[in-house]
Amino acid sequence: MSGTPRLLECRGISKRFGAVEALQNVGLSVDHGEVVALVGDNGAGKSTLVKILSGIHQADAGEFVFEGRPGTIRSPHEATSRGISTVYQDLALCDNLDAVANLFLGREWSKGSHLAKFEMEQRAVQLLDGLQIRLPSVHSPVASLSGGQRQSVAVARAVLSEAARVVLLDEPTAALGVVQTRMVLDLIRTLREKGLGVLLVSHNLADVSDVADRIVVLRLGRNAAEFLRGASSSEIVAAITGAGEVSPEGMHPTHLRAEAMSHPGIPNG
Amino acid sequence: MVGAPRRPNAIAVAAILVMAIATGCSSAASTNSPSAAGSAGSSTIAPVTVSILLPDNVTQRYEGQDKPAITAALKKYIPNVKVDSYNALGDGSRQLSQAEDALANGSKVLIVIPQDSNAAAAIVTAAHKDNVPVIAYTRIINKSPLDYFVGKDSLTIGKQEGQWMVDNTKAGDTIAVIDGSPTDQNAKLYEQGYMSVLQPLFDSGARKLAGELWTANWDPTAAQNEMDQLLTKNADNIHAVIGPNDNMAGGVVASLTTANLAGKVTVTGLDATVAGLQRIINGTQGMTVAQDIPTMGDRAGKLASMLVAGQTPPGDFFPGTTDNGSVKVPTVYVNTMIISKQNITTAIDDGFVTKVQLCQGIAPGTGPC
Amino acid sequence: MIASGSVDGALRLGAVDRLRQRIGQGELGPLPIVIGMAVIWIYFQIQNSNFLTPRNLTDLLLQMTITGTVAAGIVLVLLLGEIDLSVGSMVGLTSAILGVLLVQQQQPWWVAIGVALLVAAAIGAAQGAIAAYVGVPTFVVTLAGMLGLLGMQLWVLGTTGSINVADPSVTFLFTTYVPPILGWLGAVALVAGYTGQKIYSNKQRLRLRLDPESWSGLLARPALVALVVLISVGVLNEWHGVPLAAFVMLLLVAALDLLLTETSFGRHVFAVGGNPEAARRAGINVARIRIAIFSMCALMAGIAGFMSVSRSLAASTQTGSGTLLLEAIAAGVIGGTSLFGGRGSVWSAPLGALVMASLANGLDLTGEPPDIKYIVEMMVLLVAVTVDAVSRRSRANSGR
Repeated sequence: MSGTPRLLECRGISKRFGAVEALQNVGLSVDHGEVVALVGDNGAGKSTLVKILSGIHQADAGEFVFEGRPGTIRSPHEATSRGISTVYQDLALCDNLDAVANLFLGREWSKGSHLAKFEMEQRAVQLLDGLQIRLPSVHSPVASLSGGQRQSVAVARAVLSEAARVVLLDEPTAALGVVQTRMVLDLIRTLREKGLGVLLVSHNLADVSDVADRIVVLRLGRNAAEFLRGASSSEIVAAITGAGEVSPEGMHPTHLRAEAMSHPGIPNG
Repeated sequence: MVGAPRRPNAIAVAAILVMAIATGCSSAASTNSPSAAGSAGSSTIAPVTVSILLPDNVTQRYEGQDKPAITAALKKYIPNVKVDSYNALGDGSRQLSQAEDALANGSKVLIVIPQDSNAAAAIVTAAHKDNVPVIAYTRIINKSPLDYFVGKDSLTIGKQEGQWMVDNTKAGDTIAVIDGSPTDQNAKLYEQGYMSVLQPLFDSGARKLAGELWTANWDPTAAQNEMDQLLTKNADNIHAVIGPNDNMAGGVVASLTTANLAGKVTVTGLDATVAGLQRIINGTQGMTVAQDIPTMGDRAGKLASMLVAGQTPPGDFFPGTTDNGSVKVPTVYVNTMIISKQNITTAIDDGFVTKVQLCQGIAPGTGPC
Repeated sequence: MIASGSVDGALRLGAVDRLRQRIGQGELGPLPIVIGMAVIWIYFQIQNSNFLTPRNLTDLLLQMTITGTVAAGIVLVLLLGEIDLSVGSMVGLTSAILGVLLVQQQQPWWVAIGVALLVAAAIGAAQGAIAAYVGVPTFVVTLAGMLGLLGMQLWVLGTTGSINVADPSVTFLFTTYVPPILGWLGAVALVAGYTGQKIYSNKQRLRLRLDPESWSGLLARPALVALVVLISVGVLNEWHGVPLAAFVMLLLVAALDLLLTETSFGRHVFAVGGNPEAARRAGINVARIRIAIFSMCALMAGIAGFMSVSRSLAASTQTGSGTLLLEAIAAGVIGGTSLFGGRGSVWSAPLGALVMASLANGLDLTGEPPDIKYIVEMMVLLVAVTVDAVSRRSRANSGR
């Protein structure tokens, strides 16, 4: 396959905590305009992988390639400068501040010593409109927003910076009802349309089937399977729990990719 | 969830412990732990422990004058005394705990300045369980079988203050009355004293009452605010003010200063503090009442020595009794003296204050300076 | 729901609708306190017609200045969701240092004041550092501070107990008034400046194609400010003019408010108060913010110590003791700052202090004993805290 190199590729990621092998030789890739879901049971290594990608932990082994260029992720700061934005499950929003303040938290614009409030508001409104996020007001504290709106603000914050390339979402719909979930999934699709890569960590297979282009399954710290859009839940669950066989070819993401190119929409395994 | 676990728990606990110990040791000279201020005496005679319980360290005289006077007297009259002193730092319940500590440490006599005249009855109860007599000092302990009281005759002092006020105002003058803390027995006795002199004059019209306000905590700032309000109510038409004590008189004078009336309105005080005496020299305060603290401490020490030796003090040791609502407590009254501009040098001569202390900040040539 | 920012088809909510929305969401702002104070003032005026006289109102301002200054510092700490129990003792310590250096050591005024304020800022920073780096809760650190500083205050004062201070370089603050003409000029300038700033910022909003302020919002606020400022100055000018001490306090409050609302530092303070973990993850140096705020709070207490000497003409063992600490905290809460952190304004400090001082003043005029004063103040504080807690709950509930 030719064309632009993928946004993010990681190979052979391993991490151990003391005697525990959290990750062994794990691989993953996310491309421009692609939504990749990362699924697996508790203890599969999902959150460890997320923390490594967002720079909180350092991998013991493995390599990262950013748009064709190899690089490292040694700190959250470096992750951000590589274009990886993470939205954690607790959202890390300040409930007492409004949407504009939250979007710009820690990177406020100032004119001299004054906050450039109007400029920030303008950019915020522009961003929210572009992502088709509708809020009752950018001026009310985010505590007064619904769960889905809060999630949207957190996601918007992740892509506020022009340098954002890959958005990591950790269980974004976990606490949300049906309507709110819809809102968030629409937002994820908007991100994809804008050419960003989205890595979606989720337990909710319905959401995953709805929005993901590819589904990477981890089990006990290793790649267990990879599916394309259209895979059945039972297949995915089987891969998660380890019931049923997984062919050796299914372990290698790039092999899968080749398959996908020739047979779009046909699941493997 | 991301985020490192809160590591500094052990450090935090250690820091809290260190700080608790440090503040426990630091506050003034002594707090819960008794300070051994006396010698153990000769090795053949077992030391006798006498404990002094002070109420706070904000009132300067308790630690600064009363304690040294009592301690000196105890050492003079009891050869093998061990003097323990405690300071309740303004907390009545802490004073009770300290009393219990003192008894547990084997005190033979308790000399107590109660933080709370009523709550301190519990101290008397506890002491009597151990057959330890209690001498109340400078403040009475109410509603209890208190053994002895060495103190000022607050009622008489109040009368003296009131009488001086009458003698130094003229017919038709308006007088403002500011009282001390309503929870302090002494404040109530002072008020009874000066009002017993003034009320008849208010009733007959010989003097007018501008207003009377009680002040929590003897707080000079509150006294200043109250004076503001009394001036407002009376459209500045006030000729004299009952302080009643020097600290609060300072607040009253500050209020008068704001209204450009300082020096034109007569203010009375009590306690003969340095600041109060300075105001007398400057003419902003009219008088104060000095207590002969050294003699007071001496009487307390002598009394304690008699009790320790198992003697019953002779009747003429006690010129009077004080009714504390339960018994009539044998009382030694300390001598008091009115100090005003006329006899200000007596304050230096009698040793209440040194000339250096008194004249600090006063323009040379004013009065005795 | 309305998409924000799109001018076409947008409903510009009028001030009344916005107010109703905010009440529903628990955003009452200063409304309850202002109403409460009006009620208190009317009550006392009925009880004693001396209450609303220019003289008494001037006295009232002077009586609330020190508490208001301490409360302004406390508000900073409350916004972080913390507490500083040492401020009362700090007032006492700085007043003692000032008194001793000025009168006993005969130092020039700028040395005495400078040392006192430096000590205050340093100790405040130290308390903040212990809390931030060692992890000791601020309640504990400042409790230890309260006791330690009291000990230091008594040690500095030594055997004296109370030092009379008559030096005009210190006492001028509470004996000086702004001449009426200057007072009027200043008031007009303030109102004009505020209104002009509102108009200018509205123009800026329009230029950037943001929602402009509603007409009622654009007119109501400046009108209210004009009313308050002009009436206040007018009343005060009927006596001696605007008291310098109160003016200085309000200047300090305005400066702190500017810092909190117009700088990124201030934004970060609110962030740390709302969610310290989120602030930390956003790259904000939480420890540095804590240290800076505790230092500023202590500095305000130090300034209040200076004011205390100026007002009482003395530094004593009783300075800063008693109910000052609790009144300052109560003032902040009554004025509208939350005890839980993240919401409030420095202006709540003088507002709350004015309410507390009004209670004490009015009860003095009616001749009430101290126990009544305490009970009344306690009830007002209880109401304020309840309002804060209830509005907090409705805020949380309004987001589904």
